[in-house]
This record gives sequence, structure tokens and C-alpha cells, in this order.
Amino acid sequence: MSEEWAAIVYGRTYHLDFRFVTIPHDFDTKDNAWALQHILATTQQARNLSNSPRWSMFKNDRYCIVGVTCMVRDSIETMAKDNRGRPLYAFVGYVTRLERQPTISSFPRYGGECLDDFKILYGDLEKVWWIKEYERERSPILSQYRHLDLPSTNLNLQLPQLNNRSKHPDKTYLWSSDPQQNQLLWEASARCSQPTSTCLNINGKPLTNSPFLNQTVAQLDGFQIRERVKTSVGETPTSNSSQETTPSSLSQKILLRAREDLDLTLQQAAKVAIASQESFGNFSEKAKPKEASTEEQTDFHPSEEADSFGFKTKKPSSDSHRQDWF
Amino acid sequence: MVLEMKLEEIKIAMLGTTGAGKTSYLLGMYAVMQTGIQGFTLAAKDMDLDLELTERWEKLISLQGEDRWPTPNAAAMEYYGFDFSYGFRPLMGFQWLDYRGLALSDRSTEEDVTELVQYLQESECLFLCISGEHLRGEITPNTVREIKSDRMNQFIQQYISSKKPDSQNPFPVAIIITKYDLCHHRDKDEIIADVKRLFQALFTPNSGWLVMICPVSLGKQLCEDPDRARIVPVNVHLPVVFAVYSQLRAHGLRLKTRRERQTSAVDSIKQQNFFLQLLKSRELAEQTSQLEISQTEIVTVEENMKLLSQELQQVSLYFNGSEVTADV
Repeated sequence: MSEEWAAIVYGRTYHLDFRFVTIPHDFDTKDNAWALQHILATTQQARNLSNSPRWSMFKNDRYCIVGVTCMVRDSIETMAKDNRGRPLYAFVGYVTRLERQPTISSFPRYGGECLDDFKILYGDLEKVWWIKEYERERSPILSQYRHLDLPSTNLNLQLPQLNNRSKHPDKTYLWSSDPQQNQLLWEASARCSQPTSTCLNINGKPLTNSPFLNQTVAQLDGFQIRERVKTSVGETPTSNSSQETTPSSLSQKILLRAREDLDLTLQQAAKVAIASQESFGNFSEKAKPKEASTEEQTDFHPSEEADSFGFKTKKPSSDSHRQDWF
Repeated sequence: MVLEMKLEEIKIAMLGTTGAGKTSYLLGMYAVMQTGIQGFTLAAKDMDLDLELTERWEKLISLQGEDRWPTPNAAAMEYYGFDFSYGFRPLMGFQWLDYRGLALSDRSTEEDVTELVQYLQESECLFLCISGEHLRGEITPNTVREIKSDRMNQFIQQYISSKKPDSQNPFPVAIIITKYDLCHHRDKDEIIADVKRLFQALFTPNSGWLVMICPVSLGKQLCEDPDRARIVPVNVHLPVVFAVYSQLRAHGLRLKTRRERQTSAVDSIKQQNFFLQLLKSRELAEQTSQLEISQTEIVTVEENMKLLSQELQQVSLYFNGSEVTADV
């Protein structure tokens, strides 16, 4: 029995920023986050999307999403620019539920630059194209699952070995992008029985900072395996500042310890000296009582000068209003 | 004596609604700062990022037509790591968060806001981008909605004011008027008054805010023909200069505090009797040496600040609500 598919659309409209325009009716917050993580990754280096649509297929235990990320003008003539005249791109795709089996048998074919299977989805974008306020569009359009007339899996193909979640989740497999290779990988992704993710036809650098486990990239010499940067929500690049507090070397530790011992000896000596001073009284004119205790010395209060350090009150200038910021 | 000075890495958060020109501004700023201002330069920590920003800038200046402008960002956040150097010696690293502004809207998800809030709480400097297109005429209640200044104020109130800025530790905020060419026809003082009305709390007396109002543009003629006019960046380096200047100032104040403590310690030893002084001769030598280092560091900081302050003469600065000039 062939799968049922529901529409999913992520894009920007004339006035409003990128958002889910359409999601399947049964998607919850977690499903949205999972889908969004993959969709956003396909929009990296968006300037390279012109005439190079990126095809992606990603599946977890519950859903499989297939779609394309492309410049809108490469699919349709309308809705190609936003209110600032910037060329727009969008992700348009379909979702199917993987309730009974992890593989899919009929699905949109990999089509290179031919995006006909997805054109109909721009209709959803059109419905909200002119909305000016987010308030007017509180939630995305909810799509229903239905049968689509899609071709079936070609069982006679010799498919490449894909990376998947249970294989090397920290790595990404990279192939050189060519139509034949892309078709094989597309087919392999559909038939893969494990959660996996594939992004094809990337013009530019590989999407290393992304959840995609398989990618095809233009200008790549042969097959490669690279480390993948995890993109879990809330993850931020680490700061280098912590390196400053890395454990010191043995010689530094010895030096530090020696310095501490020396300080201790000097403090002991000072105590002895003070005791002897008390015993013998003032034997020298130089011996004067301390003006402030050590505690007082460490309790430093910044001077008023600090307030004005770096900034001085501006003197009124009669011609200030005539000054040109340019 | 050549002193190697490296300040702690800081985080800068840039907020602005979609279409405010944040990405174009970033590209222009990077291009200008790559060449350098007064010997200060900026370089991406990652060579790939450097190449990417340079390529995108070249596209912007060489192309004519709608394709010259960057495509809008779909990703909620983009992080950039930079090194700010003097004479190619790294002076300060900073991490730059370009937030595309959905958290400023009512459609922001909990995750959008959580990630932004976390970053804001760790930030040492805030850039607020408001587009000159909304300042073409006197502001109206609609302007607040368009530039989302109400949401920006809310984020500052909830997540940055908790840092309790004061005169000793002010929090720097750069209000960047992007696409200034679009409102250049207006009187400068009128624009300042409008900006102050939009962000009133940042200009209240003794509030500990250090605010810069900075107009930036990628070209004076762009208001007439954005797709074909020549790209000649104006003032795009100043927000970064301001961020570094305020960090240098904070570092300078810390050094001055340290110097005062060291001076007291040295004086204290010198005031003791001959016998004690003899016992503490090594401590005295060490304290004196540390004091000299502090003094040299302060001089270095002040020299750097002097160089940067020359650049900041052309912007409007406010400290504790009063207008000030950068002056060391």
C-alpha cells in the first residue's frame, strides 16, 4: 500500500519573516523542532541556491520528510521577492508517517532542477503572501495526509551504503554531486530502515554544522567522511577563554609552590620581627607605626576619577545641530 | 617596552527586525575593518568565514540589480567569531550573535526566546539596529511596532538590567541607525530626539547605561537607487570601535584599582622599620615590579583608547543620561 503525504512549507512572505507556513496537522512542538533543524540546515549559504535546488530527505522513527530548498523564482514567477526587493527562497515538501515500516515505497523522484512535484505547494505560500501582521496568522496552515500519485521504488538499482543514526551519528558522508549519484542516494535514503538524513546537490561548502548524515556537494573530489558538528538546540560555540585557566605545567606548579613557601617564610619572619620589635621597643627612628591596617589597604574604594575615565561631559556647542553625521 | 595585552573575549548581541539591514551592515563593517582603522583591524577567527564574508561583500559592491543584496536569513541565529587586533596583535576576541529578529515578534517560539535570552545574559555589549526607513519622518506609535522597540526595551529590562549597570560598570548599548541615507534629509537633533523617545530608559540619569547613537550607511546615494548606486560605507566601523573602547575602559579601571592596591602595599613596606624592610626586600622588589607592569599596562590601555576616541568624535554618546565625548 502506498504512503499518504501531508504538505510542509517553510518560507518568508512579502512582509513577514521565515516561519512554518504549513505543517501536518499531527505535528507537535518536538516534531516542528526536529523538522526545523533540518530545514534550516538546508538554507545555509542561501546565496548558492540559485539554479541549484537542494533536495533533502530525513526520517526519524515516526516521520519521513522529503522536500526541496530553492529560490522561489526557480519554480514560479510570482512571490520571488520580499518587500525589500530581496530574492526569496523556501523549503517545500511532504511528510509521511512511518507507523508500520521505516522504509517508503512511493515518493517524489529526485528531479535535479525539475521541481514540478512541489510546485503545487506554493499555493499555501500564496494564501498568506500579503499578510502584514503576525497576529493575523496565529498558527500555520494544518495539512492533511492524503494519497499522491507518486512513482514506486526501483528495486533493481545497486544502491550506495548510506550513513545513518545507528552507524556514525557524529560523521557525515560526502559524495560528489552528479545527477546519477543523487538519484541513487535518494533511492537509498527512501529504502533505509534506520533514521537517517540526506541533503543532495549542495552548491558550495558541505553543511558540516548540520544534522545531515549524507550529503552530495559540487566540486568535491571523491567520497569523503567528515566529522559532523552537532546542532542540538541551545548549543552555542564554546569560548576560548577557558583555555587561559588550563592546568599549569609541572615546573609552573613547583614554582607556584616555592613562591607560596617563600611567602609563608617571610610572613613567619615578619611575625618574629614584630614580636622582637615589641620586646625591644623602638630602637630605631625609622620604626614608625603603620598608618593603616592590612585589611584597610585591601578594602580599596575606587576614586571619583574613575567615573570620568574615558568620557568627559560634552560642552554645549552652538553649531552642533548643523553637524552632519555623514 | 612592547606590552602584549589581550583582553577577555566578549559577546556582542545584535538585535533588529527583519530587513533592518543587519547582514549588509555586518558585511560592510567587516570589509572596512579588514583594511583597518588607525592600525586596528578585524579578522574572522575562522578562515572559511573570512572568505565567505569577503566573497559576499565583493558581490555586493560589484553587482548591480536586486541580486546585489544578501538573501534574508532563515536561521534564527548566526554566530561569528572575530579577533580585534592592533598592529595585527590580537587585542580582544569577540563573538557576535546576529539574531534575525523573530524573537522580537509574536510568532517567536519558546526555543527562539530561550536561546536569545541565554545569549543576552552572557553578553557584554548590545547592538540595536533600527532602520533609517522608519525615521524618515517624526516617529508615531506605528514606528514602535515597525522597529519593535517595545520588545527590545522589554529584553533589556528583563535580561540586561539584571546585570545592574552603574557608573563603575556601565553596560554599553550601540543604537545603530542602519540605512541612514534614507533619513539623512532630517535634522540630526530631531533624529536623536526620536531615538531617545523610543529608548527612554537608556537615557535616564545615573542609570549606568553607556549609549551610542550611530548612523551607518553603505552609501549616501543608495536612497535614490539601492540597486545601482555606488557602495561607499559610512561609519560602519564605529559600533565595533565603541564596543572595544568600552571594554578597554573597563579594563583600564580594573588596572587602576590594582595599581592603587599595589601602591598601598609598596608604601606600607617602605614605611616599616629598616629591619622589617630588609626582611621584606624580596617582597618589595616583587611588588614594585608588579606596580611598574600595571603602570605600563595602564599607559598602553590609555594609548589605545586615545586612538579609538578620535573615531568616536563623530557619534553621539551618552553616559548615565548625560551627553559625553570619548576623551582620555
